[in-house]
Amino acid sequence: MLIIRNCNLINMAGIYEEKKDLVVENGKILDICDNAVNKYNVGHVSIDACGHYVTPGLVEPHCQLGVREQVFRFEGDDANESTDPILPQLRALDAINPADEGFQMALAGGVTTAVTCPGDANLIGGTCAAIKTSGKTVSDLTMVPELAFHMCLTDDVRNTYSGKRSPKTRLASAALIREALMKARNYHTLWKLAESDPSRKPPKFDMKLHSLMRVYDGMPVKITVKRSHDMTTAIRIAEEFGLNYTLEDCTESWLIPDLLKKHHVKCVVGPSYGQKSNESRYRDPIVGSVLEEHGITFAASTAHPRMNIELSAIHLTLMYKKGLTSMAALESATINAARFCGLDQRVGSLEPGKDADIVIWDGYPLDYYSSASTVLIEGKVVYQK
Amino acid sequence: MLLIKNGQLITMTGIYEQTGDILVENGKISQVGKINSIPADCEVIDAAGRIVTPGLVDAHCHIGLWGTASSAEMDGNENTSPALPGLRGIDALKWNDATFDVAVRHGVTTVVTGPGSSNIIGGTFTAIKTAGKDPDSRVICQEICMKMALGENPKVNYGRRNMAPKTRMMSAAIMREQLFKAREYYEKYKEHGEDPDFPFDFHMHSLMRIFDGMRVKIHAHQADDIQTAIRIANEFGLRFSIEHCTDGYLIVDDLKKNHVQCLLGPTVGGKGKIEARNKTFEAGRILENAGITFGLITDAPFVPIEGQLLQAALYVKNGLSREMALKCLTINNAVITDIDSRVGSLEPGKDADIVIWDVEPLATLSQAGIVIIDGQIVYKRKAGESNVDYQKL
Repeated sequence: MLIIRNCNLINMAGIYEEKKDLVVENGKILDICDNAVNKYNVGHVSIDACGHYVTPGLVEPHCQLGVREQVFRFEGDDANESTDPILPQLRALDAINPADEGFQMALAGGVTTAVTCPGDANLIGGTCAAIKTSGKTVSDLTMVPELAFHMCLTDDVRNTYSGKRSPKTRLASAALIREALMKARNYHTLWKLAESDPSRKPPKFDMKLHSLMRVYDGMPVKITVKRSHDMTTAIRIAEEFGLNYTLEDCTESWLIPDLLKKHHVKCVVGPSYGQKSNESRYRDPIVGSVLEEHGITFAASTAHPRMNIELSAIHLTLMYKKGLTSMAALESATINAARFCGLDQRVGSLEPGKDADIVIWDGYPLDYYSSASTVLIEGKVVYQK
Repeated sequence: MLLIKNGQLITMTGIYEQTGDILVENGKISQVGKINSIPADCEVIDAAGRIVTPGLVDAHCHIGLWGTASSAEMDGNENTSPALPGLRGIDALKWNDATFDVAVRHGVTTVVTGPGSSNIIGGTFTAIKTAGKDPDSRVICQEICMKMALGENPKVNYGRRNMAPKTRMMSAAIMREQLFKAREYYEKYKEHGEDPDFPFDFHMHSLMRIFDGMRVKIHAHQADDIQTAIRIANEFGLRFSIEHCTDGYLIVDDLKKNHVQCLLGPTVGGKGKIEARNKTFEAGRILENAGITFGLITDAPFVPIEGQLLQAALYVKNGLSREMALKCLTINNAVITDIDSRVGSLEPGKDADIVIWDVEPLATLSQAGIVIIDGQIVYKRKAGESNVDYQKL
């Protein structure tokens, strides 16, 4: 048993800046109470948080942590298999290098859970893995090996293939995704029929479709889009095929909040800061406050390494500076991110029964001058400043 | 005339957070200190309780050249030949790029902007104000520095196309060869320049100016590249600064011995490239303690121009003093780009580029309140505005 005493706790589930003790057992939160040392009268280890802010570990809902390494170009960059725009059979899990410096950066930034994805070069890039940010091997890290598909409707795909093969235009981007989804739907139907009726032969095995058909069993789809008209295309396609989807990046979401609200779109927003390109010219941290004003719940993402994962809290701070409330800012990178990724049974808030992924900060989390000083994953101290 | 009353002045020349007034006449600062009588026809701004600094200077960026709206506007790197000293950043400068507005809103009043680092010799940087009544009046100097680059950018750019340079040896050789030729040209020109038969060479004619003292900005991240830059610069007696200087903190003795001036950054963000693998926010504190003259740069768009203060704050978080951080964003950047006779501090005679901060510049919630360039108010903060001017894009 581990007791973290004297926390100024923000647990993302009703407790906001209250003096509390956290009790951890077997890697899970056992209790949140006052005076845990008296209540649990056993020989225990305890950490004194000294009245500092304590939050759940941040959840990064979309990044390429470990897949695209820090520093190395070709040698350490496995994010983009830019040889075919439709590759649903790939798995980010197969490319994660747990020794990548990115993991240390994640811990230094207070990020304990990350969804790491294939890159933006393909329309359908493969599946994303949900991982913890500390462990020696990939299996140590893994929470969900294949959490969601990654699809992409940005310029990156058209730039990658332009001149060599389709897609060259948005017309083809949409058509190629539709074609793959139609084929997968057909394959899924035949497969299910064969499962329920042993006299039927299953369809001829097709690795792409065999993977992609899982979207019709509810496997989530993360669609990266930046410009507003691409966001509407993504919504159109997702609704056409009944996908369980989130939109990712969403640079221009602050220009079309009413539309997003009407379609109940779950937006994973970010990075809202960084180098701008043609497509991301409206990138602006004001996105947070605009979405909040319109009553849209969103998750925040750095898309590491596009924005350094170490700066996760600073990303929130930049949105906070532009009018997002502090509570909404913290929610966007914890409980909202966990919910959007279907991981909220385990992470995203500090509640009894959930993983003991805990960050002790040395100041207010939404402050340039604060840092994560101690980080625990599943009850173990994995980082100390 | 414009009078700024009762500001908490940080002049960068000795006055640090002292209450004082600034009088502006004809676009220049005419008085700093206690001004008792308010001249007739004088606009007065009450800055009581607010920090007042010189406008921030970015000593190395690419804004206006690295278009954001379309690849047709990407004019940062003419990577068709590794030595093109005749190019001028100002010829590609998009005066009305929205990035300039973003700069103004974040207190940046002067930028030194120019070509990228794909070429060993890339052309000249220009020093301009971020706002003003017309493009001409914004220019401080059309060609202020010559850009050169060592390290991986030229060799990756050309090497992968099977062209020279492929190695650091060739990069250094190309730089040296150009310098030899330029020096020879320079000497001949001094003697026979008036001669109608003098064989004019466009690129050498531009490059020879470094032998008259035009400063050379040399891109170098890695310690070995910094040392190569110092070696070559010393060989040819160049006035130079080391741009980015990522590994500089590892070789402070060398920097000090050679009186090297450094422009540090961009530091916010991932490492991205091998030559930047030792990047750290500790570097500011180490250079300050070693007494090196250095500035902080965004290299915008790589750190967006609005990130200049965030970057400086993170240096302060890691031990750089607040006072030095502010100098790095103003007077040091001006000194290292030879524009300090015009900008970088609040002194009589200098351009009236002044920022009145609603929230002090290095705070998390920092916020420029009023920005003045050449004595004109170019920005007054409105609540809740965005970084980008949506109408303008």
